[in-house]
Amino acid sequence: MSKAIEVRGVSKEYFRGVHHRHTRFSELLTDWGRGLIGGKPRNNVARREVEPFWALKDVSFTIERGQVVGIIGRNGSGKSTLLKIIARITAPTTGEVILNGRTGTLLEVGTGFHPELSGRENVFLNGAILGMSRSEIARKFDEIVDFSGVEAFIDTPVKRFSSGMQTRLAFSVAAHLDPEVLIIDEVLAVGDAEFQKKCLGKMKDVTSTGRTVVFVSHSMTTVTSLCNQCVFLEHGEIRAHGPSHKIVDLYFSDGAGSGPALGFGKEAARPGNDIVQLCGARVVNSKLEGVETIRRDEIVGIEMTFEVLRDGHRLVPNFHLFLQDQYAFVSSPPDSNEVLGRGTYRSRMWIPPRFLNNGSFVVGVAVSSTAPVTIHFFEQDALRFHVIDDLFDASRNDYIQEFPGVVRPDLRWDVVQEK
Amino acid sequence: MTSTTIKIIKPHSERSFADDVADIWAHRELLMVLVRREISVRYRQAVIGLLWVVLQPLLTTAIFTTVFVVFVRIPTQEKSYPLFAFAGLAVWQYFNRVVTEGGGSLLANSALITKVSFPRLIIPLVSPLAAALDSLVAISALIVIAILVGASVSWTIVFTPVVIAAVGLFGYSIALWVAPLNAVYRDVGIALPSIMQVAMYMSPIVYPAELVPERIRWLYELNPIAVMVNTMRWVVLGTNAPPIAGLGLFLVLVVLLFWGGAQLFRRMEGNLIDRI
Repeated sequence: MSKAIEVRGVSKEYFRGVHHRHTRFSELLTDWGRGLIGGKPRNNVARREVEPFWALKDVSFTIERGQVVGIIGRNGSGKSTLLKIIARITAPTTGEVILNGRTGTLLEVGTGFHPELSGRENVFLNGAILGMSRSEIARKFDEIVDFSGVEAFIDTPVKRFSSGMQTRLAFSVAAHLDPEVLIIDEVLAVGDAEFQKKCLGKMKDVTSTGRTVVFVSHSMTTVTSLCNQCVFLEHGEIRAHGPSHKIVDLYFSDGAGSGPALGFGKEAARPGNDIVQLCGARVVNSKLEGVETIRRDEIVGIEMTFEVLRDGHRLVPNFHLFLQDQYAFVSSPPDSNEVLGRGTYRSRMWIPPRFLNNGSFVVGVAVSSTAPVTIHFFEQDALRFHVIDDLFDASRNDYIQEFPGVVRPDLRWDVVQEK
Repeated sequence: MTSTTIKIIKPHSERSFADDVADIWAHRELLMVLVRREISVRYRQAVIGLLWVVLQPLLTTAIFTTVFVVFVRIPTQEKSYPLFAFAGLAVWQYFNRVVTEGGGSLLANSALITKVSFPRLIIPLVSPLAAALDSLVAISALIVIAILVGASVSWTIVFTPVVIAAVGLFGYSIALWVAPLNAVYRDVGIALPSIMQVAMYMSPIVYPAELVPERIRWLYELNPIAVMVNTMRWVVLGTNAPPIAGLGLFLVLVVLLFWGGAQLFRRMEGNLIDRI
């Protein structure tokens, strides 16, 4: 495999506050004047307290030909800056980027569209702006118009188009851009849902044709659905670079107080009382391996180990699931009438596939008794795990936006014709 | 474009001028598309369309003719003041548009330059090319009118495209300075119309150079705008040729302004979008 993109020690400096020594033209002029008469320029820098900061610090990575790479990171992590540099919109302060192959960038849909021009003229205009040759656009013209679904209006000025129609036409042009290396910002978040689906499908096609794609996104669902590799930026530096699912795990676990596993080594630190104490808890997959991120169509197990210190109590282990502060459910073993003797126990709850909605779940771990009601321990934010979805899953019925709710079970439906 | 191209993105200071020129050449099709957009948008939804190109200087000529010939009664070298003024205004309006639109072009196209990569030097080049068509139409109208009113039209009219090109190049050279400065310091764009107005009245566009005191007229005629306007009158209407010194100075000025402007533009364009 050869290299498609090589980023070598790229740094980018910005000035917070004002952008430059002189923000006002008068300052530039007076400083020039001072220079002419031999005086020293007034120090505007100190006066304004300009602090330079590095949006990117010595970023290096390589993207092989044919890889589909997501660039992820939180706001201000430098991913937009990196994208702008790779897209050649702004220059790096130091370092260099080597692009090997014809490169197309797509940071916005419909760049350069002019409202007075007809749809046809705008297709040629936008195509040229995106780097297509006139003959190339002419060749693909019918296909572009066909994909957009606005054939009937193609000779109407686009100012008469609805915004949805404009977006469709613009995306169609972009979708027919045919470079070896494609650099895309989150342009998918446009248009109506049906068209979004069409676009995502097109993206999937593009990514499966062996082309190199760099994709910047906030949406982990989109990233995991499309990209096989991820670059995770944090404070302008590369935090991690590797297979998407691993990087997404890391992204989710970052900054969260709790992780996918919890263990208490020393007895003194264990939550609980003189009857029962929590030893540990974790999230597992079907192979009983500890995991943090799980696909929605996989089974997920949550287990806890606890030690019973005194005989004679009816103990009910229970798990409480939350999705973004919404209480999803509490669950306990259905027939826990047994009185547990002294010893260490492991209890495991299995959540069936295709039950939870996608998102970051927080698990509270507790053991309680019912008569009298006693809570022996309740670790509120004991565990955290992430359910990710496949945008191309059939159960989505081509709907690619977020589903509301904490659960999204596959239920039985009957749809029959009555009349 | 070839199927395998290697592009190296470097800090802007490390790019050579040859890199930039090659880049512009590679994007010539885009330049033509942008020029075509400019031309076709300008008179879209205007019923009489391109006729405005002729009507605008014609109307202005009418105004100045009324003021200077009917009210002020200035002496003119030519028999016909309207032809004199029309020629001056046609050149001036082209130059003015190239400087003003070219100078504002980076700002006006900020949506484009913050989203797509292409050599920024193309942007201020759109106005000179698009407006050249208007200018050519206006000068052709001048020639037709001159013939209609029976004025002598010299064979030198074959040079009009050269003069238009020189005016466009001069305007582009200035726009290279104005465009990046204006993108960062808005003062430039605000001051520009006033400066252009001063420049217009400091040049023999609507009044003949003879009105200027003889002591300083030599200096006045070295003014590059005066040189451009008088050259156009010379090639079309057969008036006195501009002084050789003026032409020489004009050429030197264009070279210097172009070279300096290109340097400034290239120095500023690298981080322009961070400051725009």
